[in-house]
Amino acid sequence: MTTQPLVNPSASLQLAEQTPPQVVLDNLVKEYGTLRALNGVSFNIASGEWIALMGPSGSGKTTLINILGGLDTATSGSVAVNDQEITRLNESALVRYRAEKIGFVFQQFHLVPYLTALENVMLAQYFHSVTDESQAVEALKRVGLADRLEHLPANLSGGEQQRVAIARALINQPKLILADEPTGNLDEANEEIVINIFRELHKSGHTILMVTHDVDIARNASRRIELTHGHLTLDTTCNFLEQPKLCPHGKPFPSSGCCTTLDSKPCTP
Amino acid sequence: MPNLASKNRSMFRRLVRRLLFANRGRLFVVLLALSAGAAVSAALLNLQVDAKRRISSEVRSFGANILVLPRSSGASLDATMPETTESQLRSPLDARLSVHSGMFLYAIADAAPNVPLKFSPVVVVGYSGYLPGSAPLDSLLRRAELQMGKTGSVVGATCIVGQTMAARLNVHFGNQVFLRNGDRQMACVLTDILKTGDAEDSQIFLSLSNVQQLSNASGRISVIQINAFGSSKEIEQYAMQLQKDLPDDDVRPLRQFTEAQAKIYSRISGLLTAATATILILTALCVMAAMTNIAAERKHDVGMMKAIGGSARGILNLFLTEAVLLGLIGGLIGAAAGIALSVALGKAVFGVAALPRLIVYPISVTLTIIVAILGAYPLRRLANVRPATIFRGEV
Repeated sequence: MTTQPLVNPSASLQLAEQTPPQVVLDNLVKEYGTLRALNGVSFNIASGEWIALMGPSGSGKTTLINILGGLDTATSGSVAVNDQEITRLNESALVRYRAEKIGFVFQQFHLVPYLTALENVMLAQYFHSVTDESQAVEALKRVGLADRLEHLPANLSGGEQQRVAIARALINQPKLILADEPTGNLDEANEEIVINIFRELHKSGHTILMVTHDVDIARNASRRIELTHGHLTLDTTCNFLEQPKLCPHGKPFPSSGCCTTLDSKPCTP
Repeated sequence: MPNLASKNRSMFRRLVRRLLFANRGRLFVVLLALSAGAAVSAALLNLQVDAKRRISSEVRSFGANILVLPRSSGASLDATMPETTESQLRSPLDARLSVHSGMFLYAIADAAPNVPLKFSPVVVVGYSGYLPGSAPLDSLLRRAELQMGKTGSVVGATCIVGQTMAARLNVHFGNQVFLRNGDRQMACVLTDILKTGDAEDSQIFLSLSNVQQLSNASGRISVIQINAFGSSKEIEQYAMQLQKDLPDDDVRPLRQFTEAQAKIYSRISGLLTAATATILILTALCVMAAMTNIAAERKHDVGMMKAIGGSARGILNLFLTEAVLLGLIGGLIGAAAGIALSVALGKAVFGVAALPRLIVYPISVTLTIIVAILGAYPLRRLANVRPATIFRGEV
């Protein structure tokens, strides 16, 4: 049985009409030997969008985020971020791209265990350009860790570690925040704290692409993209109470917005 | 701008300090491996540097390596030259070459023990000067003279008789030996018996003046033996200088001897170099094993550093600085211990403590740093891996 894609290009089109796309993925393919992790994925991301990237395990979400963040290379296709084609960048340009345009937040936090919270944030400044301790302190204060500056990661809770990671991701004012299941290792209380930070970031105009399995977290996003076996199977601005309208793959939706339960407009032939 | 650069330098130092002390147990193991390697290599290097001096000194005790003979003397004991020839020996141009000389006069005489009745032909040797190779003989002659002076019981010449000759003449310490050469006669008191295992064992030694008197060769000598202490090339050059200065005499460097000296040095030096290289390779492997562990520990840190914009070069700089510091600390501690060790080893091998050579210290510290950098190879490899590969657990 083939999966019917529930693709709503109008979702991105709506925002794309307002602002030029910040990210353009075109026919992205990634193969690991004989395994095709991404199979011709195409979509745009407008500046200021919060996208929840969803899908079952092994669907290619992390691969997509890795390629978008310059951590991995695509087998074919193209990825442009702010009109910069990143699949053609050499290693040193990729390093600059990661340092200047991307903020990563990982499920495993990936803090350096022998550096304090403050030093972990300053490490991103160090690799970007120059360290500024007061700015790093300010970033940690913003995520509520003013009293944890000199703590080693081992002495911080999971939520606190993730907040340090967020402060580190934001310290260089990146254009795009890529978060790979940022609340996956957190309890409910810490999850709420972290999601609140992302809400604030979204409000302040940051573009966020967040991998998540959690529907409740995905509800916070302005748009939802689903991958299945490397294929884009859903791209919608509908919320979870609404049903995206089923359309044959490649057929555009009417430009009136997401397909809701109330929306009876048919797909264009 | 300088302020910005200094901020980054300060962060760099901070990061390196954190890297160094991230795991104190591991730091101790790496330092121990590096110090042990540095200690053994410094000890061997010190022995190697000292070996040239030591071997030269040992070989020097074998005797002369340049002979000055009357021209066309061949094997004849009759050919002589003036004793004043020795005063014409110039100081070597090369200050590194140290030179000692001794004068010898060989003569055939008849010898008889105790009672001058049964004479048999012997080679008598007159000796004067200071020749390290003949040091035993030199000291024996002096000791004999002192003994005679102290006891006062014997007046006249003293002599040292070779072991074989003493047995043939059946003479012992304190016996008189009668010597006759034509109508000239003299008696000497045997003050010591010489054992060399060579021709000297069949000879009788007296002071040069005694033999000159006995053989009616006043002011004459048969040979000047020179012990020049240096490389074979330096010795050759000195011999050539002497030949120019003494055109009427025959200056013969004992080439085989100096070459043997160089060969011994080269072999021992090669052996020590090979041992040092082996120790350093083993040390590098030990450090590499420890660093492989560290690389496994740090792979996610490296992946993360690259993800947040760290370049392979920037990350490598951190790790290599850490390795250099480890090498420096291990090298400083180890080299100091090694030099002390070489003093003890020198005593065990050569019987005399090796001199601590300052040049060994920077060399072994530098070698240890190089070993530490080579040992950090697993970390260097890690810095060049794509972050996604690390996060996928493929490294």
